[in-house]
Amino acid sequence: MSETEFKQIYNDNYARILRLCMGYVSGDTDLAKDLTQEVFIKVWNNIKTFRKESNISTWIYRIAINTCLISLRNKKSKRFSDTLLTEDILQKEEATQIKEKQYQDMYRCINKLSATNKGIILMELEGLAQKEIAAIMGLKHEAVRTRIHRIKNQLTKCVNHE
Amino acid sequence: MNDFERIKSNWKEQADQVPTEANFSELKNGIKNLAKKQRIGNLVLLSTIGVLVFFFIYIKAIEYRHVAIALGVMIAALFLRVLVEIFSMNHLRNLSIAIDTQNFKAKLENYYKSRMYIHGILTPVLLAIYSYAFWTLLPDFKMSLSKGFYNYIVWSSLVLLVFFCFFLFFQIRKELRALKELE
Repeated sequence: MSETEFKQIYNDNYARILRLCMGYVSGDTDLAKDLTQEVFIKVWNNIKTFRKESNISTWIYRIAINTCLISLRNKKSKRFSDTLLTEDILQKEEATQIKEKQYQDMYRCINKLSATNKGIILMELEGLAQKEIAAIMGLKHEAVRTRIHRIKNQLTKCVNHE
Repeated sequence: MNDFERIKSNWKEQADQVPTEANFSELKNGIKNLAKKQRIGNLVLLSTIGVLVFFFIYIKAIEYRHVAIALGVMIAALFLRVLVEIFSMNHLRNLSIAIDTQNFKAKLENYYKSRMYIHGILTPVLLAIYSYAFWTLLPDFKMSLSKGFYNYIVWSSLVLLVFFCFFLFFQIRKELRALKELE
């Protein structure tokens, strides 16, 4: 694969992979950028093994989720910092404050999920078809549907502080 | 709009991060540096062994049977540990990253379990063997070194031993945490 082709793949997939990684690191942009870079290094190193049986973005999602799983080992036992974010939020306008608070709650609740459920819901949030999610995760379509239903309830309860 | 739909719409409203030319250059450097880092890592581990073997030859340890055996055991223990580390690092690097997540997770769990075995059993056993061989060398050190230097060797080794035990404890904790997060 030429550098131009790889660059095209990188540009097309960067934003969604970064968002996925953000979900695995509680919204920490710097950590997520490092992880995203790691994902694309692996994409480059493994591109020869891509058999075009699936869409390239599905294949990249697989690599991204698996890379995020490996990163759990090196993750510092850092909890989502409510204090820091709250101080930051206070200085912003009300509408932005509400939005940021919603993001904060969203990442806090995603962070409470298991590694597999995190992957499933992050792809659901990105709008991937359940069939595609099932293929990436190696689960049956029916199992994914049930899980998504359960995770949605879990997330909803969590953001409502129930 | 129900609560999950609100979460979903919040998710989509997040500012889209557009990759820059600088991001792509960093990525290209990352690809180049990775291979370099792997080579340097292996080189550092192997040069540690090289230094010990050089020391072994330099002090003509082979002429003193007991010193030769003790130093030989120390080098062998270290060599074995280095080999296991290289093997383990390569094992993680060679895990097929593009397989489905459930399959990958199972392989990763096995890897963490093998790391637990390495940190929890193999390393302490090798450390005990290494320490015992070192301990048997102390009378020779006492005879041939000044009192101050001898004391320095004994105390610094004890400090290193305690430090290493803490290191092992934190490594085991790290692998356990990773295993728990995967479940």
